Amino acid sequence: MTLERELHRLLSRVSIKNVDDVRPEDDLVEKLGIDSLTALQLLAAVEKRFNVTFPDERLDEFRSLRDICTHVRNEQEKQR
Amino acid sequence: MKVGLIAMSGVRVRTPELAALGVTLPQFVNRGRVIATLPSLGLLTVAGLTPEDVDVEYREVADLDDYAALEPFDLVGISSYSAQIDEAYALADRYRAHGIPVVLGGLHVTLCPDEAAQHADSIVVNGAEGAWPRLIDDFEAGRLQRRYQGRRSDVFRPPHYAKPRFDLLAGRPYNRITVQTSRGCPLNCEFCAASLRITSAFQQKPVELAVDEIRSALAVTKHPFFEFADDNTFLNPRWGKRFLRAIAPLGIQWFTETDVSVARDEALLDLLAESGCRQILIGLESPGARDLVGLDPHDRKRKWADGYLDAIDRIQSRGVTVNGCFVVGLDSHTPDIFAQIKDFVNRSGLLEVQVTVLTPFPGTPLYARLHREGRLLEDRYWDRCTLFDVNFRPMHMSVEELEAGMRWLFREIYNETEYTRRKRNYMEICKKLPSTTYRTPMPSTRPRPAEEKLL
Repeated sequence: MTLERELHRLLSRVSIKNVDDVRPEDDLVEKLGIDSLTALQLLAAVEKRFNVTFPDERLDEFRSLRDICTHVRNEQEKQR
Repeated sequence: MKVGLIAMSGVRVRTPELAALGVTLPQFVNRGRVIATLPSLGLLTVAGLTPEDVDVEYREVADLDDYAALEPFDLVGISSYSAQIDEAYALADRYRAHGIPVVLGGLHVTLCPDEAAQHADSIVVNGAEGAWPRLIDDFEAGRLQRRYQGRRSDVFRPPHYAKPRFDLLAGRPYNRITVQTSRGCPLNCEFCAASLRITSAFQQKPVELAVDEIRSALAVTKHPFFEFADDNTFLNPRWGKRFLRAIAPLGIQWFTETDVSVARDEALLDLLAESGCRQILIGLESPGARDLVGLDPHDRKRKWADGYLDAIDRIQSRGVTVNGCFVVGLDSHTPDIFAQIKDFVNRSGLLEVQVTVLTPFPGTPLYARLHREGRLLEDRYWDRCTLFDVNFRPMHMSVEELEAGMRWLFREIYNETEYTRRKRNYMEICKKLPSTTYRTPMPSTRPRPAEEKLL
């Protein structure tokens, strides 16, 4: 499964919403109305699934799937 | 005939030092913003009680322009809490000066009816059920009475029940909607100024009605987050489980208030998570059992206090966060209480914390006692009933020590570093959740667009 598909799947599971039409650049709060706790749950699920870490002081900055994807890719690059 | 219903909302702090501090504390400000954007469920219920042939308009006080002409309503209804009651009275006076009759209602009006009556053509005490339809009939017949008594029981049964008019919120930018599933709370804490003051006993809405209301709200708002406007939602675990099973398929996310006894029921905790509960607010009041003696008539909170940390763990281990509420200034509190709360917060893993000062709201047993003991700082201080301003002399510290201690505690627990630490702690809890905690959403009825590449 591609990273993109997996992020969609995780978003769907933690938000309990249909996310089929969420685009990479969409702000998740504006698009889905997800609350701050769901946003943290999503980041935690991504950290666990891809064995990466989001910096604590920047947790509020990951507002779209693209933001998250970019960070995961960068972290994976560093781990190689 | 056109009725205008005007909601007074917002969070206020009068003490200048605290107000200045508040704007620098992100978590404090965030919750204030949330509260300020909640629609008035009371007025939406009043709208639901209004006969269909009467036009109803819902307004937030922020919608009203001070300099614009007043809207030409035939009748205006205003509801307000104590902290904003003087602004409500001023608005009522303004409408009445323009010849528009005003009805005042709500908790403060119920607790101080004679005062409110000076600013209104009519008042409604208790809830609007059993009063508002009669009031409208009387108004249309030209015989409006000075006071109407709403029902204190059976408000969720026909013929008194009315579904709130959530449709009045359509097109407005609300992202949080309140739904009430119960009224009252048998704990009967001395300081409580919530819905127990307008009921004769705890009343619970039939599950079917509560679910129907949620569906109605979902139909008119985009991605709403639900706040159940209850004082103690899960007092009856059997009702609670039926309710949670009924809302689980709706795919909503929600918040409510309940007491710590919810942690004793594993099945209920599982259902909380499965039904989309994001947070429950629990009035812990104070970290130590001995501080809680006499707070409620049966000393239930004192008996629960030793299990607070374990209860928080059990609830949060499901990914449901606890917003732990503390009240400072209890008669048992000394200046040590502020450090004790900070220490408890650090040990507990609470994601969110709410600290308020003991507030003698008019009409409460606390008000009567402090008045009797000569400990109220002023006779009338309603604009300072904000939960953050001190209005009485504490037993074991000075007013200044209480105010300074609150400011210290706010700085210690609401700053960015501490909040970030608590967020990380919550994320680590989430990582331990079994994958079954997350449910698969309902299938979409929309066609799936072609997959896009994220980068």
